[in-house]
Amino acid sequence: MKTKQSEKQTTSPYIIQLDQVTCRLEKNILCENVSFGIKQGEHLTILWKDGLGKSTFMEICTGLMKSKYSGSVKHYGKNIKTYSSDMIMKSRSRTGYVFQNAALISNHTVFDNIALPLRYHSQKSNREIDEIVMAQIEKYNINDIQFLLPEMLTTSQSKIVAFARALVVDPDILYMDEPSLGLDYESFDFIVEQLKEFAQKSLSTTLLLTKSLSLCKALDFPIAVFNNKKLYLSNESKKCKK
Amino acid sequence: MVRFFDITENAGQALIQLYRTIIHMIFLWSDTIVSLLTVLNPRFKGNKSFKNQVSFQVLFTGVEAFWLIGLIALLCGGTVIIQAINNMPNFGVGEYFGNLLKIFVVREIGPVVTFMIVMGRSGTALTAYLGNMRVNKEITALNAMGIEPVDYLVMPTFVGMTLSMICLNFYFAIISIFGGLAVAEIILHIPYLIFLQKAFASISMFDIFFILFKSIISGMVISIVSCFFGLTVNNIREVSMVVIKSFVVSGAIRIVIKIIVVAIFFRQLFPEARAFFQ
Repeated sequence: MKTKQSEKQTTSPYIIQLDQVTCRLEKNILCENVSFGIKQGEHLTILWKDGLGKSTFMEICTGLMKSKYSGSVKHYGKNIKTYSSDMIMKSRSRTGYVFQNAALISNHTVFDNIALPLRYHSQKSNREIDEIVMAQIEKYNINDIQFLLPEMLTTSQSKIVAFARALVVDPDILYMDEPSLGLDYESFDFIVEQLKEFAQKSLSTTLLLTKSLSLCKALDFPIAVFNNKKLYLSNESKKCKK
Repeated sequence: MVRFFDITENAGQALIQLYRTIIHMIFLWSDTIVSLLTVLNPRFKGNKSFKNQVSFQVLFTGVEAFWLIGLIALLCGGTVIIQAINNMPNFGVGEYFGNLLKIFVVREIGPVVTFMIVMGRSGTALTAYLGNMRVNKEITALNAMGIEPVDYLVMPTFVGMTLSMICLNFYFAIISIFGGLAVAEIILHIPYLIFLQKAFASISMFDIFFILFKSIISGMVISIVSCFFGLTVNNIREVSMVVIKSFVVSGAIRIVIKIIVVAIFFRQLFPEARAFFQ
């Protein structure tokens, strides 16, 4: 997979590229003429107020939403609308996604949730997968909740499990939709540490959508601000009325 | 005031909706079959959760319905057999006892009752479960991880439910004959073994294949219809509505398939009737 992605990368420097994206949901305009690109190894935080379509915009960026918008979304230089479903699924096997509500599978235990992407995609044996998952569980200090169902977890614990699940595949790109929502102080610091560790890897790329200034400050990624349906990148931030 | 344009417009929209639903259901069914063939390929090493998912479905649909189906089979078998033993000699058709049992209990009541119980118990639960998964963005999470919901949710359900239906239908047939005759013996003191022999002598290989065929069709219809309606949910309010829809639609589809099959295989299914009408 990595070799395929590196081949693709030679054609375009950007891993994710949005070009003049305008999204209308019924009569509301979510965003207008949004354009930006993220190269491999780069990180971007987009500050975005609550209730203005953060999750929908993230779905557009990741390619989960293919309709209801104009403009183009490119992954590795190729418009995602032209990707076949097999190609999309394969590329997503190297992608991590942390949802606002954690979105853990409700009838799977914490262990099974973390093992899920590996069991589906990996060619490794079950024993090897179990070892990887156990290592991840120990890294995230969730030994005591590994056999619990998501309904029995607190919001902080659900979020930590969601991070563990997203990062267990060692992704090339990590998408995060409001990752700090519902985290207590201790968990917040722990997650920031894990994200910094992930960001230090040379080829890792991160796209973060949040309303939390404290998370922006803690991570220290380049910041873009979304305001009045437009996106202001860090070099244009003066244009944005704060 | 009734406006004819509104009536025709609504009727047109309903027809288009029906057409889309049928087409999408057929696509879901074909995707499920392709996914099943992929998993059955020995070279394929992905989707290691397949066996777990199938066993979960068999446990939920088959094993947990075991006592309920058993009790209903006993009651149905007992009722039909007592009525038959009491009334058939009055009409001079006492020698057709075995055939009546075969046609009535094994071929008709068994598959219908099993279908109703499994659809009401497991099919509706499955629709509600998938609907809630949609609302909680769990399906989106699967997509985001590169996991095809058809491979991970629909196909194992399809396999598990079909296997469960096969087992439950044969289980119903056996319990209804053995148990029904036992009930009849307790109440009417009939010669158990003679009636049992009559019942089994009338059952042929064709009947066994017929039950097998009905079970497979029922399992496929319940799983595909339930999953289809579950996966179309957009918000939490729709969950209860799609549960009812899935129950009604799967029942309707099963009846349509049954009518088609009876029309095609009428000669094989009812040779006596065919001979009578000719």
